[in-house]
Amino acid sequence: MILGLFGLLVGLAGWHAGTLWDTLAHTLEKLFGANVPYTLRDLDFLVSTLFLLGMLAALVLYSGLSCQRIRQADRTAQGPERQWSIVKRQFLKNRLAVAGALIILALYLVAFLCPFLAPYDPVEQGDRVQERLLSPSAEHLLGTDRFARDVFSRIIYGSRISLLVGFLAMGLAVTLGTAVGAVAGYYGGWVDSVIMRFVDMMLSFPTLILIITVIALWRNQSIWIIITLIGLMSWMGVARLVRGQFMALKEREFFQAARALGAGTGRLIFQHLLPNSLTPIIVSATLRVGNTILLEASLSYLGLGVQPPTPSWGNIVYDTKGNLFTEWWMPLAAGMAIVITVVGYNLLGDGLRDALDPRLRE
Amino acid sequence: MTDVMDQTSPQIEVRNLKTYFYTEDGVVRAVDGLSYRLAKGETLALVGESGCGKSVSALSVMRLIASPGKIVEGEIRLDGLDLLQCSETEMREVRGNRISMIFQEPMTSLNPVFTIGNQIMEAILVHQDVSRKEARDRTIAMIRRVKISAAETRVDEYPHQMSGGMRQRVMIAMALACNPEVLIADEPTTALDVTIQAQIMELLAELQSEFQMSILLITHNLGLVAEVSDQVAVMYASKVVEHTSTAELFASPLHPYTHGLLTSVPTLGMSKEQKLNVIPGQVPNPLHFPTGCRFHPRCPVAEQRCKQEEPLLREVKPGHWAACHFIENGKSPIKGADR
Repeated sequence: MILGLFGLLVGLAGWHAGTLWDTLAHTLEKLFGANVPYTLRDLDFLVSTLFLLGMLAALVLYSGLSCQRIRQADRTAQGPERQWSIVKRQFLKNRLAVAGALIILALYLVAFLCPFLAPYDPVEQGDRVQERLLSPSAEHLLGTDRFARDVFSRIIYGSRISLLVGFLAMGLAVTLGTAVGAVAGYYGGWVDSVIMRFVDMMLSFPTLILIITVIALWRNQSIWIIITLIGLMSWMGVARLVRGQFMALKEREFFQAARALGAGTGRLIFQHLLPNSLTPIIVSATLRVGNTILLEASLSYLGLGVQPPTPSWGNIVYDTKGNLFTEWWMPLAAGMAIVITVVGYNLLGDGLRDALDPRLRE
Repeated sequence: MTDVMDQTSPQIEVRNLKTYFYTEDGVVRAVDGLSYRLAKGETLALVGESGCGKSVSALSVMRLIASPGKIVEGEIRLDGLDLLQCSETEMREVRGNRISMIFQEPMTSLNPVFTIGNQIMEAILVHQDVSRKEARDRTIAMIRRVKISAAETRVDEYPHQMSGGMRQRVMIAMALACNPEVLIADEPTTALDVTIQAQIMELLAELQSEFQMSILLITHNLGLVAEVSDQVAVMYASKVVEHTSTAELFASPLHPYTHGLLTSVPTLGMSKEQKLNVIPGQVPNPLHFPTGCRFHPRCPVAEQRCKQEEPLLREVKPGHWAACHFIENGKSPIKGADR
């Protein structure tokens, strides 16, 4: 199961990277040189379709495997199934949590199916005279912006950026935070003091201003740099959490028992401490996604994030803020998209915490 | 079994072990000069009240004392190998392989996120170069050995699916998976029902004769001591006050503290009116042990001398060691102590 989950995460990360507009453009350029016989959208169709097929195949394979496993499990004890079914039941009881999960699921579907859902190419500019700043209509659901691009298509494609940033920046933050917190919590003593004072120091920096400074100094606004910076600025909470968890687990008797069995440092951390800290890590990771998405949107809104013409919700708001009083639906729709995503992740995180934490059960 | 301290080749020998904790309030002398020898297949019971240093002495043998604790003096020899000179890597080879330990709380001594099979397998895989398949087969055999029924299915169960007694059996299976020479049982039955206690002790005794291992049994349950151990060391305030064979100890306890302990145990058939003997006072604060004999503030026969002069553990009778000034000619200072 852990292998399957890992595969899923890697697959998602790969897809995230693969469908990015500038990555696609780059690939296209590499493949065909200057005289491109296909458009970006064609390539996007291809990648999305391939990925969908891959996911379907994985799903079929996985369900086949788990069917076999369940058949086996029927004969033996039903340990993990029972535990997971309690969590599942608890989660499904919580309507808001289910709503959050559905929102996130729907968003991912939208991001997967961008080329199928979006009626227009998100970066293609229409007739600058005839099709500029159109009001919503059947052809352009949310009208067009000042470059005569279809806003609805741009918002649909913008989901990719938000999900990508949320996913990768959170992944980086959680990995880094877990590693740092694990070292501090496991070794304790002066190692812990030094690391935690560093964490305190990092926490006292105003995140947004620091990122803006770094980007300004670097003069490079690639999405990868932004993701890295956001990740580097948001691991501290996870580190504190993991450290506390490790400290508490170290006092538990099973840890002492494992040491008495002759288990080494690696085994103690990866077999005994980390698996027992997974629940709070998952919950905080989910809750953190919302923050990273907001941070990216803020940066893009300030013009320091994802660069046009690649659409992101933050830079759509930025692009259209001049039309706020006349074409108000454009910034509003992009803003709503951000709000819905963040709320979705927070609901999901809260629900996961309630379902996974046995102490919160009645 | 007359000469308990003088066997020729002990499996494990502890000499003058001192483990201190350097806390902010001062030095806590948790174990202050403990010595014992344990032959192959023999059981030594370490008896005493809570906080007298029993568990710390066990953890010292495993070299699992964490800062601010430190083993400041002594010698621990496992079949000749001086454990205090071993590196941490060498110690890891010893732990769980040559010396194993079972703990007091079976409910919390197992990792809740792995199946019991996984955890027993871990013990095997850490120390032995075998395939996972073979380790699993051995695990199942081990589970059967500790008398858990349906071993093939229970191997995949999680700790929370088992009762306390079952979990203690799993702990025993884990501890014995690598066939250790010495087993340290730190209050193995304290958290269990009385009926389960007997089963677990019986199982341990059976496995002991099967594996020919030495057991260091740490307990405050004197009933348990009488049943299973060959020799007993009574600890009070980090020191051994009396050490002899089990039969001898129950027949003629010489130290006033041991006498107090034995008479404070209720016996079946005692009438309601009969009062239990109580040792007056409290266990001394380990930061400030009393001068002289550490038991003197609570001792019924203490005199001026006890406040100034610390009694040494001496052989008061062949094969019987005790630390009290007033034991003469192998007679207890308390009248009617010999039973």
